[in-house]
Amino acid sequence: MSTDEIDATTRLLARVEPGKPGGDPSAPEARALLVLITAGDFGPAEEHGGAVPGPRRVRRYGPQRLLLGLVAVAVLAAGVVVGPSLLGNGLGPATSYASSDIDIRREADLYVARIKNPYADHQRYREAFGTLGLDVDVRVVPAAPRKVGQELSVGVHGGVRESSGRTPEWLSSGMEEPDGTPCMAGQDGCYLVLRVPVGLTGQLVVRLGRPARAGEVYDEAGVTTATTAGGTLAGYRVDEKTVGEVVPEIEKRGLKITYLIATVAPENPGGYGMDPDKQDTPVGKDWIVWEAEESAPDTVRLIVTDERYDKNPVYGGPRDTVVKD
Amino acid sequence: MDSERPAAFEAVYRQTYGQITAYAARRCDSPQDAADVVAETFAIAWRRMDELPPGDEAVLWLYGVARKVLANHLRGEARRRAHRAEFDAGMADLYAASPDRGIELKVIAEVFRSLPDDDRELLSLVAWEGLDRRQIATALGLSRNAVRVRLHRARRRFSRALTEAGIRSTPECRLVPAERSL
Repeated sequence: MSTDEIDATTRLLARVEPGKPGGDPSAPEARALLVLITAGDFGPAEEHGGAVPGPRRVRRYGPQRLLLGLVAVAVLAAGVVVGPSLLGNGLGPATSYASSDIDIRREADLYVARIKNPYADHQRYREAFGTLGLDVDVRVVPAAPRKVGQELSVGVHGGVRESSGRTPEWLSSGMEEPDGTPCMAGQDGCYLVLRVPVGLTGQLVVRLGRPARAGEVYDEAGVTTATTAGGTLAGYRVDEKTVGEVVPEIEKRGLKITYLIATVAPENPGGYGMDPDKQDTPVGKDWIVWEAEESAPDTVRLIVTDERYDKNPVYGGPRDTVVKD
Repeated sequence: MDSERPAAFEAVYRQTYGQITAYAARRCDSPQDAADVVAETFAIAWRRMDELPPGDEAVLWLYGVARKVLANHLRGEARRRAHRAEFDAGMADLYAASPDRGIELKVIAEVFRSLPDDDRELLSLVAWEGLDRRQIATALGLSRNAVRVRLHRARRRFSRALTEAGIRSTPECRLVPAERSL
């Protein structure tokens, strides 16, 4: 998503529309509050000094701790206790880990994990991070070729502890050779690498893409558009055509077809949902196709609706305004 | 000086009331909570008038205060509702309609709520309050570069979380919400 799309999406959620005031200072309730405050009848529950009074345990780090940015305060306030092992006093657990499935070692402010066996039980990875005092749950899932090595989804329950006032590096991933050179999955010595900040607090859940094995369907987060450059349908547009029109073209390319029956919100505001209960509905030849995705190495999934909408719900308008082929 | 204080405060109050009430209402799930945040924010401003920057900077300073009040409030600090029935009722009007219209918006709202608190705040200050990086830096007491980096990451996380949560569409675009008539 582009920056503008993200911001537009966020704007949709505003209870009070952006740019509009919440209340009128001349309204009776506003006048009443003003009178209460200036008369000294209303005081806050406690003194809000220069720093936010946080949970008591924050205070053991001393005043300096309280002067960190709001990010750090919020992280600590979320209930995270930073154990002594992570404070760099030498009493903590090991700083590296190695097994046949995964190697992890510390490089400056990051832990660098090399996933040597992407098919291992995810608990193996979790245990490995656990020995370093981190709660990191890595799921390595099948993904379309263009998404191999990428973080497909990231969930953080907690945050990153700031160290020495520096903004911590966030996590990153990729397919890399031992010296850090980017490489293609399947080459010798080319591993999936995940970098995690040493100051991670709470839990990190991350899904990383690996190549699909024969017969495997891509993880939900590992799909990509099939009709753009590099896709299995590159050069063939399916958007706004009927199912009857595109199916023969796709089958001609030796690909199988599945469907995603999209649910479009009233007034088609852009975007769509998938109602699992409606996916068994038989798709008619006159249904409208809005886009095609890679769902497995030999299969594309058509995003369809049973009626034609004023604009493509996948793109919130014509595909051309978004995808520049 | 003291005799000028109520008038000076009232000027700031009138200038910023609409923005601070909107700020609180956008972030609180109930009108009572929003009313608490507005009232506490202005009560703090009244007692810290000396620190209140002049002109347009005042609202940025108040956003920063409101943010801290909100953080404390959400931690379940004591509430101060006495003598405020009328004010609370005024805030309630803002909650008559939920912004979470439609299936997608409900999902988007859930995803948004699941983001780290700081991500939400940065995204909101841009999209809801319409602040630029410099203004956000002032309001949150961060460097502009820190705002730039954190905002970039927040947008990226939101984008990924949306994809993960079933607001699915193609990776080149995903969701392009049509502009609501605002």
